[in-house]
Amino acid sequence: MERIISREGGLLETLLPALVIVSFAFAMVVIAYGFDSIAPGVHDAFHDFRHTIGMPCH
Amino acid sequence: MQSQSIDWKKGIMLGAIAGIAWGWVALAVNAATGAFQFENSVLQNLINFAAGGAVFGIVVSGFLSLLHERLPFKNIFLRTIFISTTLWVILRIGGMLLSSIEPERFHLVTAQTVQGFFLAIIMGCILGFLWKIKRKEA
Repeated sequence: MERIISREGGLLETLLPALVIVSFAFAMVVIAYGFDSIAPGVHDAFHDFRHTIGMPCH
Repeated sequence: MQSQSIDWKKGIMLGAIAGIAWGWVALAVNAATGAFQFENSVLQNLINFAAGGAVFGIVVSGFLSLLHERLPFKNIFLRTIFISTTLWVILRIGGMLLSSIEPERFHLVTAQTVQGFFLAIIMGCILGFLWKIKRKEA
């Protein structure tokens, strides 16, 4: 029983950082390509940033 | 496990700090090179570049925390530069695909691409520097 609880805790500690990083990676993709359909306003807000770092834009 | 937990939280914090600094460096570099003529005000760009940079920095630092034992390099600078440039190249390839699908919306500019690649290297340097300082303190 203790081993199972320990494993669950370990799994959570491994999964949580991965989930946080995946969430930020998703935000990075939305910003990099300016996907307004996912986050309205992101295209205009990060327009100059996107061009500066060499990502394609109109 | 406890030390791993502290490591990734520290990594996110370092990534955010490095990313904000990188965002402002990117702002200054583009102002100097003129690769893109800014359309927003300076104050607006200071905020947007800091926010965008923080997100990019957290992702690079997060991947470093997760993958540092699997990377082929021992040197922290090589590791951070490798991760930041690899992520940038992946995003850039995605951009090329989007450009081929929707050419009227996504345009590629060579000068901005070259600038972006060097900025990815700079991101790696800033993050590597912060990780090195933190390691010495620990």
